[in-house]
Amino acid sequence: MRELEKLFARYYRGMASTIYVSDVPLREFMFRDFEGKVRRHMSFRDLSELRKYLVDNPPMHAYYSVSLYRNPTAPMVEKEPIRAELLFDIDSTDFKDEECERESIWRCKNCGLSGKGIPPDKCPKCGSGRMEVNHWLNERCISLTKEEVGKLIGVLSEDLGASLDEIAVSYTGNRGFHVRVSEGKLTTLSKEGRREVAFYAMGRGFDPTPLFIVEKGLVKLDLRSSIARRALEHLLSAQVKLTPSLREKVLLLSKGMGVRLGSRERKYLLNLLKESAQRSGARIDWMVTMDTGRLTRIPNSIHGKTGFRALRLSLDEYGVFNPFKDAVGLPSEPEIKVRVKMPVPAFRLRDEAFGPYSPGEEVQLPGFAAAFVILRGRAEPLNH
Amino acid sequence: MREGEILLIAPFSREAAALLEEQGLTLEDLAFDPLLENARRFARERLIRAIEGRILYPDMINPVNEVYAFVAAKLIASRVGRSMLSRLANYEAKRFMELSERLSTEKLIDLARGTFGFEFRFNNGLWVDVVSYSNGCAGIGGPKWRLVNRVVRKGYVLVNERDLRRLISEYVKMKVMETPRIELPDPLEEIAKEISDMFAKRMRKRFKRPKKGDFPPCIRELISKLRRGENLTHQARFALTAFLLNVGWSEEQVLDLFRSAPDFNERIASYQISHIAKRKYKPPSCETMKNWGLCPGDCGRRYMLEGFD
Repeated sequence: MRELEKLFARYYRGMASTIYVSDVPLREFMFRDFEGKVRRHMSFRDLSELRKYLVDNPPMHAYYSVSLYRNPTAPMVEKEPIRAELLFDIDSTDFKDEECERESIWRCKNCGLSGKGIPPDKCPKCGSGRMEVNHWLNERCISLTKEEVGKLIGVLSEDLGASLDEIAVSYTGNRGFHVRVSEGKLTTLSKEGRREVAFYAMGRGFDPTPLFIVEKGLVKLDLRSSIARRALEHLLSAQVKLTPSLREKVLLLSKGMGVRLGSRERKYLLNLLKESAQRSGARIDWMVTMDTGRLTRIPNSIHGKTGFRALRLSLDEYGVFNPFKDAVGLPSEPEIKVRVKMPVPAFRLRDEAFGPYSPGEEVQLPGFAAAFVILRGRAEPLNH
Repeated sequence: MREGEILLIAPFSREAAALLEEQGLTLEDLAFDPLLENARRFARERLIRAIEGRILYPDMINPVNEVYAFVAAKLIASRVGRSMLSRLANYEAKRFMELSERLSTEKLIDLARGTFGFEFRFNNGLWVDVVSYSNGCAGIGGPKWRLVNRVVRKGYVLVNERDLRRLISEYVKMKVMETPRIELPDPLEEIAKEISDMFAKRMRKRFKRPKKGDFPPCIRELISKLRRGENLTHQARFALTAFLLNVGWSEEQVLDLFRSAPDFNERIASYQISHIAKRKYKPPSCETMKNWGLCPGDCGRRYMLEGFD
């Protein structure tokens, strides 16, 4: 790993000034080094001390706490949290998308069977659920997660009242994005309150029963609820098949008009709406949002599974952002010779094309490309 | 009398805190001042009512006494322990819910704003800020209360007056639960002893631990919450009961577990438990548990009873 460490060190020497974390003295920091050793409960007096640490001890992974604490270095129960960023994690690994997983390789830990694509829940040969997956990442992972970022920003600003300058987007450095609200009242949400907000953004647990208004035997849906509106819209979209009579009723409901619904039909529609609310909601990992004790990647630090920068992006930038160009942060020198362990598909970094490579092949690559295949676990460095 | 109304109905309010400040009340006054004998008596009575679950109507003549009694009661309850404090918290919340019907909307809004930091909007209805709403509703069960089923716009949630009272009463609960546990002067300590005995007697049929086996984390969490005397939502109680009955606990054992619930009522609890037993309800799916907010994290089980069937 010495070669990689040198690349990371060069990055932090040149780019430490781009590392920015607010309220440094009130946060806990955690680092994982290249031997896998973890240092937790650390704190810094100010930003420059943090930057200096990164230059002197370039970490493989660098994290900070979403919470601000009175005693950031104390054990968890004595930290005394003040408030916490509201964090949303969008990761394409959770989506099980075929195109996004095309180059992912899974292996059954029980019988050793392996294959490509979306990993099955259970081994098709021996039935074991113990699967290990080596994910790859491609443009599709990024475009999918960008869509979710857009939905989430809409909900945060339109419904939850976050002002746009309180919302920060950053690329995770791997297969998705982080969206955070770092200032304002939303940072005072309790853990349980965060679950309410996360479920809201996801449309999860939507049950329109309290939003039905019955007048003279006609049922209306309260369209002041943006989730109800979104769910109706989704039902009317091309992706959902409805009988003509039901479609007509959904159309009337979406215009704020009352319809007559039999009890069976009502139940059926209720279920359709529940499903549509979730399908049209943002796909986030709600457990991350709820966890105020969480440590999360420092924006602009290097992700130790890709060598990419966890770039902080403005609301105008994230749409056009391309990690394979914009987030490549490691230098090209020194070049590193690697031996391929698992199939590496063709990929482009900084507009340069690489691969495909097959197992056993030995190739000389620019530092950032070597780091990428090594950190993905598909190749190993050859000592020269 | 109108002056003292808020003190009577909301002895936890900012107005009450200001009064305590102004009068410079000390713990010693509360314990020894002969003029505060009534306050101590009311505190004791309040705690007994909390154990029994019957609302005590306030002393209409002297609202100041009501505030003193409230302060003494929570200090004593906290001294007795978390379960007693939780019981008092629940009692205060219910008491507020009943008495606050008399408050005008304006007074209610003042209270929420001044004491608990709620923010409001008033265009076409009553809107509460989304943070105050979410932090408050989390303790209330049922789909109607979930943020996802509410009208939410620009950081505010549409509520009616009853909703607002219910939300405030959740904050009352949280506020009482924040009472520190401190040493008390003798006269109060004596009340604490008496209440502690009375409370222990109520819970005497202490729960004998039947084998826990390898319960899923959601169930373990619910059991430890109950043991700590915390309140569980209706859904949580259902899930726990259905699970325990399905893994072979008797109705009696389940009932004993619920004795530490802050609002435990033997008649209602045993009716609910035997209803679930009779219908042979299965515990909810993991998906449903997640939607109810009762899943503490992925434990690898596909359903709650995995490993028990």
